[in-house]
Amino acid sequence: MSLTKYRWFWAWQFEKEERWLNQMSNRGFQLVDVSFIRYTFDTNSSQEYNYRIEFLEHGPYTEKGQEYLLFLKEAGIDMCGSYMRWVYLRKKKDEGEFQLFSDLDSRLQHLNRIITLLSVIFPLEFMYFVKCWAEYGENGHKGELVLCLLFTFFVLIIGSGLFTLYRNKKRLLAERSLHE
Amino acid sequence: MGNTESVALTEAVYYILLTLYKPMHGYGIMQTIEELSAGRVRLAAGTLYGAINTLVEKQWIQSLPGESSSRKKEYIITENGKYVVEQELKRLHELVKNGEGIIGGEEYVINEV
Repeated sequence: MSLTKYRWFWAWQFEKEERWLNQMSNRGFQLVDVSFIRYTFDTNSSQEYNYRIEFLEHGPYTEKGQEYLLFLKEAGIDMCGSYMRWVYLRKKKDEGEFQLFSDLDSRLQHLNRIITLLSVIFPLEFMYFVKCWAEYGENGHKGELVLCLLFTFFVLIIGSGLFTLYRNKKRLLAERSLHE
Repeated sequence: MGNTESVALTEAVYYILLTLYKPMHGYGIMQTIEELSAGRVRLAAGTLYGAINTLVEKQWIQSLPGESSSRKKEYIITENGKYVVEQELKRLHELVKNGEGIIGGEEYVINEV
């Protein structure tokens, strides 16, 4: 039997998403597939898994990405779904604890990848936002207003996401000045 | 290559370099480090993979031309890498010596052995 759930998580909420997947696993629902906002769970799997999400440097279907996934497989970790450069990884619970990163440096590197992604999107978004309001100021079209509000929403949400990520990064950097 | 600057290595990097005095593939590195440190240091797969790539770029380790049948890559330390570990070992000796000197080495040694 399978169970389908629809959820939306922003890029900076991947840890919250991980927690949700692990809670689902504890309740007996093992994630088997992901596409965009749709999550498919196996409801009577004999195996229980721990889940982690990673934003890869190279997509899972590129040569480099494949190389990494093969590397993970050796350590008992496999991919149960992906969305663009996001991969959903899992390891059997009885094979012990599952972490992707064991020091601050690598956690920072992962965070930086996500920050880079948003730093590309945000200025574009912001440009459209400014352009849209400028045009609306000139012609005052109702349709234009809806679009402008939409851009405003995205600018605010992505801006706050970037803020969250930078704050997390700062915290990790402060920690690293004391220990690894 | 500006390898002469003395920088403290991360625990992960130090142990990876040490393990690679013998050729080894990724999972082997992980297991060996865990054994060497009596279970204390357990490198996570993502951390290890990132470190390996950085070390290859820095030419402190290199991948061995393996048999094409198995896609597992094996790595070994380079001369550059050996130099870096030797410098690090000197630095660690200094840290331990000064620590023991101030905190009281004898007592420390007795407790430890």
